[in-house]
Amino acid sequence: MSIKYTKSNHPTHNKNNNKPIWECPWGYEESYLIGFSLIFIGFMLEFFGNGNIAPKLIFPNNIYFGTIYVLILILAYVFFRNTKPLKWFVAVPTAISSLVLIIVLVMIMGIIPQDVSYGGDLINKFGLNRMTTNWTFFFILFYFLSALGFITIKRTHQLIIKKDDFNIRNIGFVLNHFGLWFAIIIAVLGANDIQHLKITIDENKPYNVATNNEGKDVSLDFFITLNKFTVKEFAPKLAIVDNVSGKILHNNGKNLFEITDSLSYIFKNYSIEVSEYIENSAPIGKKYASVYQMGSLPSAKIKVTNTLNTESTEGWICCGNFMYQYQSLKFSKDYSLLMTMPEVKHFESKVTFFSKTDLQKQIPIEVNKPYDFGGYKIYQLGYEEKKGKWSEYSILELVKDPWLNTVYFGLYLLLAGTLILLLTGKRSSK
Amino acid sequence: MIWIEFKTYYIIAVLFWLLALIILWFPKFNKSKKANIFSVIFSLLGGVTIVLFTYFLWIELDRPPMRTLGETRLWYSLFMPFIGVAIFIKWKYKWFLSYSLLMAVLFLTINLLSPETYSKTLMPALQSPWFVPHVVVYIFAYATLAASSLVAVKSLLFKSKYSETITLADNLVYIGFSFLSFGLIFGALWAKEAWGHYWTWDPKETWAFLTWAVYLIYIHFRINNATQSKTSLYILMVAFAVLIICWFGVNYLPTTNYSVHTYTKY
Ligand code: HEM
Repeated sequence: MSIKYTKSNHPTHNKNNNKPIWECPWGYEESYLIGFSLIFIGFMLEFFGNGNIAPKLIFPNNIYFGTIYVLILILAYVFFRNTKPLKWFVAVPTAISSLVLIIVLVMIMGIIPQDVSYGGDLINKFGLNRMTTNWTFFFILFYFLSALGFITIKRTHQLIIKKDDFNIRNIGFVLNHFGLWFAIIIAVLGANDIQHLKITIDENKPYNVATNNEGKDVSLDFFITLNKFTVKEFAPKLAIVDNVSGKILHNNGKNLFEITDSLSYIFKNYSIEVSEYIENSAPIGKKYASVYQMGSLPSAKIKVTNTLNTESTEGWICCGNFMYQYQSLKFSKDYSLLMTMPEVKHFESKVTFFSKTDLQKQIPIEVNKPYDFGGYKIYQLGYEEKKGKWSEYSILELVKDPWLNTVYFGLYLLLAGTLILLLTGKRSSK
Repeated sequence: MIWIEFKTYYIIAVLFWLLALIILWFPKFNKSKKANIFSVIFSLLGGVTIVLFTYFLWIELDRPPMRTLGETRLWYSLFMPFIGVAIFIKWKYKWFLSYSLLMAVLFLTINLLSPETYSKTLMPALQSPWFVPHVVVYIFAYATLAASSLVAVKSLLFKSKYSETITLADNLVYIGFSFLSFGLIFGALWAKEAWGHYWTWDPKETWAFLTWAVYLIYIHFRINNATQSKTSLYILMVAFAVLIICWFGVNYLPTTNYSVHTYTKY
């Protein structure tokens, strides 16, 4: 280790020394005092600032800001590294207290829903429901990033100038700390350059106007045509419902079964049997017939036999949708059978993109499989949920994040550092 | 159906582990050197039983069995005996192996008593090559970190030798924390593919970050080895509380409804 702490000079021992506050070397007390002052100032700015939220930096100002910030850190290290404040900045208590402060703010974020329409006056006044744009978060993040930055610069410097320090552990250290520092700085400063656009498309028409988060139209320099939109569903499930409470009975988890042609099972003294299952059907009188058209839906013919007296009930059930009513089957005073709405298994848009210079035909886009075109990553976002598999349109999301690979670069370094951490373990003491 | 079979696997695994525990603790057996070998073997056999069950469940469901809370508990019980055996072989801690087996039994018992519907459905967002590595790495991290907290609790309650305790805790945290970092970053890379952004401060993400950050505090707090301070042990316990909120508790916080990824209830 570069700094050799003994019991008496280690910063974490300040507590035991009964050192007056602010007398060097600084330790935990000073760190928290600085941190909580920043939090206080942040919240005051929120409270009295009439909703003036922390500034949003966009290109190229974020690059200027980031460069100047990093330069200041490096210069401060170069010129002041032997001064007391900088020694304090690179010490462990500062790292820990800045982490604690971050945790406090993030915990607020994890408890209070981050939605500006949530909460009463106080939550709104202090901006607790939008922590990421809160002045307080902004200050603490910079305190944290500066602590992390200084130690990263210091240890990188030592790695370069000291022969002894060039070992796998110290390389791991630099990878971890630099990777995290770099990824967070880029992610934070680049956040406002990210574009999220939504576009709703019907089949066979070319579209080139999407809407952004503020609901404004943005025209694209290429066209998108939906060739075909398909939704595949899982088979619906058969549920037993208590007639009085209306609740689905769980029966030790053995209740909900995917409906198939041959499903049969025993519930208490009832034998339940699916005699017919139609994936696409429509009601005709009291029955259901196989039909494939807008609105057709699954239905099943069920036979329930009471094993005690061999009486049986037979009838059709169906889950219902935007066109047809659901149909349940009451088979005793207490219980009915119900078909649950089928869950979505897969949905996919086949689309064609064309711009002045490029044409990509029949590209499938589905969840977890976005496609790159015209500088955007294009995602399958949604569809007309009310109509389910008969949806007449598809919603795509177009995302442009110019900083993505830069952030990923930091994350990959962090991963490499983590691997080293895993393999080398803790530096042994003494 | 599959749940009925689970009882069989459960009984077999628990019997193996019971045998392991008896050999480990009964004075009659534990004098001989062979005893250790046998308790290791029985612990592993119990573990393999759960591996087999998980394997058949995976096939039966036709999807990775990682979607529900109960399924994550199953994975936890799967990892525990192996972690316990590894630590036992390295450090010869009987109590640690016993604890691992008992935790596995506890989690499997919860699953037996409150079975979930083993639904085959898997929502599109989960249908991704990231699903398996993300969850497996995470549950492994949870299992290791839970073990580190137990080490801390044991040390606080029974006043065992500090240096021994803390070395084991450090090792477990370094392993667990590394896996936690992998899980977190895998999750971010996956979120980018599935939802268009790698980090949205969704409640689950927020608590995953908090868990990670508290263990980071432990790691840094421990850099100075000079003290015998109990604070490190308390940090471990706080860290575990945060981990539990992240794993189970997020489902009950006011922020839940804003989350796109809480575990499905059925
Ligand atoms: C990915 C996250 C991180 C990992 C894995 C990590 C890991 C480590 C490890 C293993 C050490 C001690 C061993 C050594 O000296 O080589 C260490 C030291 C340190 N870390 Fe971190 N750390 C992380 C994040 C942070 C953050 C966020 C900060 C500050 C805000 C920080 C500040 C420090 C400081 C000040 C030291 C002491 C270095 C010295 O005295 O030379 N670390 N870190």
